[in-house]
Amino acid sequence: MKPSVIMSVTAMQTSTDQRNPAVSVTVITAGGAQGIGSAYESYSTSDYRPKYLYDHTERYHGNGVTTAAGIIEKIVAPALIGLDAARQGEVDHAIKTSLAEAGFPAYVNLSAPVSVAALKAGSAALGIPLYRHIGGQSAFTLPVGGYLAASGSKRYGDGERSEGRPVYNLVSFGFDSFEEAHYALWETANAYEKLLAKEAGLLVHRGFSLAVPRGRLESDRSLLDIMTKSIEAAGHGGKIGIHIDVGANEFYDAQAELYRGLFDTEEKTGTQMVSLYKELVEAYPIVMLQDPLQQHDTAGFAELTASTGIQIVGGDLFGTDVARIKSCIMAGCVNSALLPVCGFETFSDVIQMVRFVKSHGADVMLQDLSGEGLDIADFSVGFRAGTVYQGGLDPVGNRLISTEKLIGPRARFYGIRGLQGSKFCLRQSVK
Amino acid sequence: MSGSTIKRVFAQQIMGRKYPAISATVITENGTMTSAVCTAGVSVGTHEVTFTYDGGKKWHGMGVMNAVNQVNEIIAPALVGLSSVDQFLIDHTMLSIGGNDPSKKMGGNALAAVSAAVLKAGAASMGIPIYRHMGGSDAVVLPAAAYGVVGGSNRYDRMHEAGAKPTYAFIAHDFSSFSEASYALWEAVNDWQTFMQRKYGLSPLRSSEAATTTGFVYVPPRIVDREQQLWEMMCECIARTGYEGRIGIQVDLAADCFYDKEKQLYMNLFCAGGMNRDEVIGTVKEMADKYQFVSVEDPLHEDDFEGHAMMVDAVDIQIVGDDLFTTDVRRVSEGIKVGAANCILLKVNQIGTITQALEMIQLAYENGYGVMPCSSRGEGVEICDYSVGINAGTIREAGLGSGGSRFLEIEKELGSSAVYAGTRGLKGRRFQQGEKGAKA
Repeated sequence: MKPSVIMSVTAMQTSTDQRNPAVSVTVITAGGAQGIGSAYESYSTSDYRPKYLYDHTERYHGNGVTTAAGIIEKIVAPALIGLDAARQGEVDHAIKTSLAEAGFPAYVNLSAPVSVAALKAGSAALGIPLYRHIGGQSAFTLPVGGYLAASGSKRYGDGERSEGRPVYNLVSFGFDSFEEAHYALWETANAYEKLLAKEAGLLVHRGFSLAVPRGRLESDRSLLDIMTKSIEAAGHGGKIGIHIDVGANEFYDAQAELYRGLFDTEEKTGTQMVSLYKELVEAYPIVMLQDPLQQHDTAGFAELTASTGIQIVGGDLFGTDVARIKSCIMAGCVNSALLPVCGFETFSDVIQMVRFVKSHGADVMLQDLSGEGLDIADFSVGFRAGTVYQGGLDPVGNRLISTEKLIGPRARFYGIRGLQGSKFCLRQSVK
Repeated sequence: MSGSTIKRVFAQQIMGRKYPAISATVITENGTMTSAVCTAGVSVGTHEVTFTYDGGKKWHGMGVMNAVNQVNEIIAPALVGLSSVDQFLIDHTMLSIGGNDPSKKMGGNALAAVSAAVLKAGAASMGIPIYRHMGGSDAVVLPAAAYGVVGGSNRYDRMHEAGAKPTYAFIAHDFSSFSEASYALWEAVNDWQTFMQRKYGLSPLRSSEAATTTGFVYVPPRIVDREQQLWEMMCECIARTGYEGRIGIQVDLAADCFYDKEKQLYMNLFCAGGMNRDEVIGTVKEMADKYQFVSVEDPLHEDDFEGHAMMVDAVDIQIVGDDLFTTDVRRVSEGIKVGAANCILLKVNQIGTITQALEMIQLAYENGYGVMPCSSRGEGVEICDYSVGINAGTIREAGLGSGGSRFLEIEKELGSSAVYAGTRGLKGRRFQQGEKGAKA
């Protein structure tokens, strides 16, 4: 029997560092290879977020997933035994068919963790790294990563959700290798932490995100100033830039049609937000804006994408809703799509999405949102994504450093070409 | 030691299309044995990488025993013990031989044959298909199916040798699967061949060693006065079979073969007489607007980057560069900077190693260019695996016959995850509607 043939599929409820528990699935093959996949729901106010099956009992505020684990073992597992884990399309087809035949609608926590577990078991059975199982010999690029400089808080308002956003990351692109970019990031992070203490009296504990308390800053421009100064102080002007994951949904009051408590105390309309971004992009080395507007302002997104020349990432804008992602990409709302792998039904659906996005001139960005963990490093390399969410001075960054070594002397760090937008284009005159 | 570790590498001289070819074989620890061939090119661009030939009188100087010896004496010892699965490491090792001394570098044909044999060995030793070894689980796209319909040159100048160009093919793009497209292609090609047989007594080239020239009907002089008459007939055939707008025409003009550098004119390309650059651009525009052309390759001479950029501005279909780019990273970069053409012809063996090919493809893709694989240096039917491995949107003629069959197999194997590139597989504004905010 081929060593990659699936012998067992088991599922259980596990804990996560978010509020909701995860469904965790283990796939074991004939050759003894093992793959673990998990999926859980992270906080999101996107109308396009995926659906999860919950226990609705008292435990975990109703969000337990033991029912989901049970269904996987009873319905999905028997359909997979005997299949080749290395043939993802076949495995995913079997997952979907078994659930559909049993009458279950598309809950991602019934399918995604199984699909990812099979993917990883397949890669282990072939004895090749995960990134290569995904992208084959074509997987030799390293994405641009970033260091988490500051996260959000309810610093300018009361009633808003915030949920840790906006998140500010320093992204390092102007270097020849991921390792060099990584070291420059370390230098800049040191300069930033020093400056932040000196100018704003704020202390950063490396590895923990800095949530700035109320009353310390007049506006987030102070943060942008400090970041820009630290990039210069470290001697990396033009080589390190700023990525803002705005999460504008969290600050939007749909009834009043106003953004509240975002960047400063002033209320802003959608039009004012667009002008503000245009001004900020001119004034600061901002290279990426993620969910800069609320999820229904597709026209605003398209305008920012067309006019700023930088990478505009959509996340809450379309969640994991395939039809919505397609229409937003077709309409030019964004030039980069955030793909939470474990938020799609199966890995094959992710592949189809990546194909669609890339064939429409845009790129994908991977983030650890719903159970992906460190594997976003391998997903990024496998899909040849130009950027990764954070993945700087963190465990994902370490995995990317070792991947760069593993690929060897011809590994290619994307550098500035990893960023979408006409500002970063090789083509000299963009019409 | 893993089963994919390389145990033995050797090469030999075999017969190619017209001249000898080099064949390399790789044997791995678990007993897998694979071979790959690199032949001399028929039309060789000025900017191609250097193949090693023996020179002298034998085989008109085109023997490859020196390249064979390079493999057996220098490359083989360097590769034994390495893992055949690590393509980048293998290729890097070969490319590093000789350091910075150009005279000690290995010939492009020696490198190409070994590199392709290693790729096959890596796939075979893991028990996975070549396309998946090359592109991983992400390799799911079947290219638009195309098949040759017209070849033969010297129609307007019998003194001139232009390597059988221009060559025309039908391309079945607007379909939802490869198998459906390939059947429509079969209908249209059959109609065409029957028509040419009945009307002019011309038969298609039945089989050839290079899969990409099978099926062509060679049209000799005095059948038509100008190419437009041929285009008219092709379009009528497409309309007759009911596939207007769904099957298009792709052509390799190889304009370099018709370019007179002194006069700065393209001689006897579309009809008797010369044409300047603007007139050629005008004619290509006519092909795209009045006829069913969807892809035009090498419409201008091989050093005219500016002209190829003007072409993309003027014409909204796929413009492919072959002699223009010669699958070379530096030339491709130069072209991208000015926006010359929008698709790059990929001759894997022309570039040398698989690694260099993948690097070139990455460069093309990240700048919004398409890549069109072509089998012309002995790649054989593996070109189909290469095509799926890199998710190419279009491919030179491989829609029926052995190439078509391989694609049908791959499509079946991929099952519900297979994606047919279809019309969107073609580059050019006409086919890329909705592509906004893109880099290129």
